[in-house]
Amino acid sequence: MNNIDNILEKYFEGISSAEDEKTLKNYFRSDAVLPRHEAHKPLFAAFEKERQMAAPAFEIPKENKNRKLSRKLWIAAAGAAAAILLAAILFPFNNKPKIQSGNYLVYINGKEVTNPQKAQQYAAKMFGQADEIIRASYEPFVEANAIQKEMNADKIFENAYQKINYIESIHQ
Amino acid sequence: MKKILSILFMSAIFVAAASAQQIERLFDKYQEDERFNYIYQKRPSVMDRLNDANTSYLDIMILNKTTASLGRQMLTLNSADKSLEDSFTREVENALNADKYEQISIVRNGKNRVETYEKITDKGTAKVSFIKNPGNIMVTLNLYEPKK
Repeated sequence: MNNIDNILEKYFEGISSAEDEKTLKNYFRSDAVLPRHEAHKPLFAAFEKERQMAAPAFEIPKENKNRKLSRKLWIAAAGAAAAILLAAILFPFNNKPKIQSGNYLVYINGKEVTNPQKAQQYAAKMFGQADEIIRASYEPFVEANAIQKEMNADKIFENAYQKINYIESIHQ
Repeated sequence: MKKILSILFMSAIFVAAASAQQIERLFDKYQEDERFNYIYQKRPSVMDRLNDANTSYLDIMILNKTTASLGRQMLTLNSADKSLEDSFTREVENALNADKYEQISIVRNGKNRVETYEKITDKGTAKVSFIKNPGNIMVTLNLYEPKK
């Protein structure tokens, strides 16, 4: 440790060699620093820190041209997307059945019925058929409801009670 | 970040627009298909509507809730091709799901099956009847204005 004292002395007098300074740096970086040398530790730690500090990388500023171009591209893409969106929204409305005249549009096996009267007759027949199928399918439920109403216990008792009253009134 | 949010927002709107009115698109898709018959009635008469209303209480309710019909459409598939029937059925069901129709009733009578669906929005009421018979499928769509 006397050696360290000597080197330190030389260091502060400015006559230490590169080898001496290396020894000092290694010493202060180690865990074996003596208490009497602790006061110098921050100094060498600062030097070490300074050495490790990397110079900031030099960045070439990006040209604004590229940025403008990407922005333009972005605006174009957004415009295209908006146009597609608008078309998608409007498309179903524009694609509604086109009725030139009259109230009906009828296609039978892909062929348009151009005669308005025939179109009307066919439409009435087909809608009627569909209504009939639906009506027929609901019929059992309508009947079941009617039976349920007929089988109402309160109503049956009420009727029976009225009949009993009537018979009793006759006997009296 | 702004770009990502913009893209997400636009995608959401696009997806919403694309998925809307799937059932109407189905009618448009098959109206000129030779395997189908298609009928569109622009303004059903009051009698037509009363005929519809005779079918069930639901229709009477719709009649009460609405002021005027916005038209009705029907698509009929007469086919012996089972796979075509199945794929068309799937398409109709997917469209009804995509449009968020509420199923009102299912009636099965032998091999005949009738399903009714309804969708009520601020713009009006839409009612779909989906009739499936062996070798024959009918889809009707009735649109009504909301009651003011």
